[in-house]
Amino acid sequence: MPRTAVRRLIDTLPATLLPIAAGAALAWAVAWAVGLSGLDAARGLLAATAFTLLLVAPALLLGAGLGALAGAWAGLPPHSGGGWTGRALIAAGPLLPGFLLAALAALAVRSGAAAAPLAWAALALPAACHAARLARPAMSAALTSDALRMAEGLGLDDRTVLRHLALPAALAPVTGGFANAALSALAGATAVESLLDLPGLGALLIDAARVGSLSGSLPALMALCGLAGLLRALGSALGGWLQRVTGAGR
Amino acid sequence: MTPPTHAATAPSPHTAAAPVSTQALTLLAGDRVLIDRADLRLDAGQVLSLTGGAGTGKTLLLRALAGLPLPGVTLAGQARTDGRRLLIAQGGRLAPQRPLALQAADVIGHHLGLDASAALRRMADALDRMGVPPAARRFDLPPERLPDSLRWAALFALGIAVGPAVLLADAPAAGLDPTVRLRLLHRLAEWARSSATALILAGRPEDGLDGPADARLCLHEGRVLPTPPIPDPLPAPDHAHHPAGAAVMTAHGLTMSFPMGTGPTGEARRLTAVHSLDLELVDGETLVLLGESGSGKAMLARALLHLPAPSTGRVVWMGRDLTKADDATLRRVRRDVQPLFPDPAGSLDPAMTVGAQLTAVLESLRPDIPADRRPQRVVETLRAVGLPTDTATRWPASLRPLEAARVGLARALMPDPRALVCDEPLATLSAEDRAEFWDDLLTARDRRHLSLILTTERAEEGLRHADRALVLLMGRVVERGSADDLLHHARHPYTQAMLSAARGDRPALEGDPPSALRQPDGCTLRQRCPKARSFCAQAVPTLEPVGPGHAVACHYWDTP
Amino acid sequence: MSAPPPLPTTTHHGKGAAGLALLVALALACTVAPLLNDGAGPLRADRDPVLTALTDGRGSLSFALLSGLLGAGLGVAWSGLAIALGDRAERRLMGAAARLVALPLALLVPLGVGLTGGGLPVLTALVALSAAPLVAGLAHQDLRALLRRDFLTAARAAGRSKGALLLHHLLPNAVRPLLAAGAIALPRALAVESLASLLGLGLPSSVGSWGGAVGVAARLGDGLALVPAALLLALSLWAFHAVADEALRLAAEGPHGGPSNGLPGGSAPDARP
Repeated sequence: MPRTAVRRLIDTLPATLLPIAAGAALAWAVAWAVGLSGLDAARGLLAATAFTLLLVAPALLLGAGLGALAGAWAGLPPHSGGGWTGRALIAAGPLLPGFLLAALAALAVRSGAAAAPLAWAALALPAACHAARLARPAMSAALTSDALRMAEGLGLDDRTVLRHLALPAALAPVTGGFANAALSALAGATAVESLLDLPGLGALLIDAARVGSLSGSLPALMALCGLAGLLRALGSALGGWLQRVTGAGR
Repeated sequence: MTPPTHAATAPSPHTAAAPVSTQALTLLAGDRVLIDRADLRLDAGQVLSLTGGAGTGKTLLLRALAGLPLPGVTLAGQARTDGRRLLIAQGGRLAPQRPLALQAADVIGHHLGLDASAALRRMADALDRMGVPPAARRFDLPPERLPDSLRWAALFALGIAVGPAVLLADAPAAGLDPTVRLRLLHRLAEWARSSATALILAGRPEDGLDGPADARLCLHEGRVLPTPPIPDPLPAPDHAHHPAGAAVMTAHGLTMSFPMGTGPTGEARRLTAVHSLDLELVDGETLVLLGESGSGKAMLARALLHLPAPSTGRVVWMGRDLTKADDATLRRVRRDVQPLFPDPAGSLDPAMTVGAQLTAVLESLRPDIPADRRPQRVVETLRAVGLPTDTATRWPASLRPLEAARVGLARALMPDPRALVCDEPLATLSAEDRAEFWDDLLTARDRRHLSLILTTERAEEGLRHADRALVLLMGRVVERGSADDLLHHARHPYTQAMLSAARGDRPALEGDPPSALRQPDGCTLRQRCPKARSFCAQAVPTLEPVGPGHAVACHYWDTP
Repeated sequence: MSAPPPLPTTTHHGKGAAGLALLVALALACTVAPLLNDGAGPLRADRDPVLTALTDGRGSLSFALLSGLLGAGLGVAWSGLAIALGDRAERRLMGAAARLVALPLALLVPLGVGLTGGGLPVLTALVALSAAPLVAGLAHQDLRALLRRDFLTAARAAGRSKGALLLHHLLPNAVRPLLAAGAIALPRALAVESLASLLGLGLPSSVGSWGGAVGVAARLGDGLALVPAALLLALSLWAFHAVADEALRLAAEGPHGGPSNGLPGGSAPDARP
């Protein structure tokens, strides 16, 4: 593994694994103080963290990836099917917060639909809208930029220009805005878990809050903060990788 | 319809197939004629400069020659280029994130079919021709992290590496210091001549593209015409009015420095932009401060006005020490000494009309003028700088650059000052506007008997209008003397290089100015200087007199 | 033939105007709705679901306005205080804002309500606090950019006093960017309150809110009650976002057609969380 990647991982620890570990330790201490099994409590918190991560990360990555491509496509003339998808996502973005989609998903599950795909869709769609909204203006700007005129003047073909100039330019703001999308997705995940009675961190937090238990909610909150940091780090690592692949790669 | 144009042909010694030729090339945007029946012919190894103001169609003409699409423009007539052609587009931007080496490999590989390592070897040879030292070649970095001068040098090298039959450069090296720009352009032109490439350098008249060129054309009202020989557009310096009055402003030990955080060992670091500098302004004289960008001339100008106050040292105006001045005294001094800013439009409050801003100056600096007489004063001053009186009711956003510059001048003249400190007051103006604004400024100076301090990077232009000059290099004065002495007998290699660049010649300096954060020991010019020897690294040269009123800070000014 | 001077960029304000009109229409409809319900008190799902949703909208909209404005004010005051204190305090205050923005603040609202037992003042404060760091960051950026501009130096060279600088030059130019930064708080407040109410830890049921109605309907599987409330909530969010985007665009345009910050006006930067 390259040294920079290791260093980057170490840099992110205070904001990622440390809060999660602290949350687990607190859960253990609280359970131990009231005479319950501390180990079970800590294990429960970690399991909930893993569940929420599995719920959020794939939806977020898939949503942001597809949204970014659709948004970039929408910035490309002439109008095409993919472009219209991007436009639709951009227009629908503010209409579709994750928690509202979670409620719709809950409604569908009550009438017999499968929970997992709906939960993922409820989290992926807002991420896609957000990514499309960021990618489209960046793509349009790249297509009218001085750099594009330079590439034309230097005789590069459209494919090279699109791959090495326009696409990286369109994806850059999406990876930059990944942290915001991750926060929205965590809020949406809390609604999904709470409404569908799924065993995630959000449900843990809200259940503890409902009964007014600080000692129950605090570990969950710390783990959620760590999870937010983890997703942010994931986003920046992904951004770096994408930049290497699209910008610098052959 | 316009009468037939004559063939604006670059001189062609032989009639073999020229790499570039056009016949009655006409470009139309809707019903507007951008280029009217241009006949161009350029031979192999010929360098042509094509100048014109903003919006005269230079970019479109180059795109037409490069065979690129012209959205919204109709092309009539013929444009023919033979062989491989390359256009270095305006702005000099490449894909911002992708390392330069890979982009070079893309372009060279695309044209010559070479693999990456062969392409990069070619690029390295080309960089040698552009004079980029191997140590400076950080081409694993993306272009946006390279200094502008290196980015342009790399772009030219890319052109050289591909080796086209026709190389078109749109506003090449625009925005660089004249010394750096002219060095790069001369190197590119030399290469074009030696490798039989037809090179067109297109840009604004003030960019100095005529210097490296063999043939000179200009775009005027849609026509391509031979550039008229420069009839010395600037009036000769008026040395009859050479003042010998008393000093009105003096500065002693003026230093400007800024905190730059803490270093690796925890010590506080400071960036020093002006090093303990002395200056004297005589009543009625025009003192010009010359220097490249980063020389500290703008900082010095601001420090003289206490905007902000210098870090150490003092400024004295007519016996009043500004360092010790209270608010009332400072206001009294501000009434006498007014600034002009490098971006006149940006120095106007966008939320106030022009008239309101001028009135506000009177209100605070001239309380002796009764309120009912203020509007009259505003109107008079606007007229004096050549603006219609209804300018007072306009918002700054609606002003054109020349108008904004004039409003800036009017504002400075409002309190009836005795001196103006002008920081690159013409930086945002086009060539024609510059001439007009020089007129305004000099008229105001002569009518009102103003003392002027003027900073500029255009050495020749500045010296022609000045009585005396200070040449600044990285915050230190390296040459001081009368404008006449400097114009004709400049001693410092740096001054000589700036004057060469201003005249379109190749400056003798190599390489780029060092970063202000990593200044070399000893003389800061030594890494670029043709006269540098080992001793230059050991001591910062001090000013030594070389003639009456003429002093130079160079260890080897007297060696050839 | 010299080129004509560049024309000032004309931007379309259609989306912002539509958002504002929609908000006004929604506010009117929500105000009138109880009258159509025979003047009876807050009505529940056994009556017309659309009217019920409109009645719930009174709580959501007025609360979003109240807490959004409070959050905007807090954020602007935060950035103003940071700049007034300057240097190290400024770095610390804005660093704190940046760190807070990176946390899932929206979840603090239901948590705080659950732990404290709720109540309108607590909820308002929590929602405002969840929006304030974002507003503070944006407002700080704008104010710093404004303070760097040369016209303030020119005003100082003209001998203007500190009071005159602040009152006549800084404030008139700061209004647009600060309003734009503050406008971000409105959609955020509505979204955060709706999330909290949906989880049952937001506005008390006596006040009524779209989020609460959606949450109850989703748990009961009552599609008829869910759809109108969800639709009205989505429309209001869209309208608030459209207004906030428009404010950003206006701020980028600068006063009297001039670009602000010396940059070409036109496109609004995306600052939506």
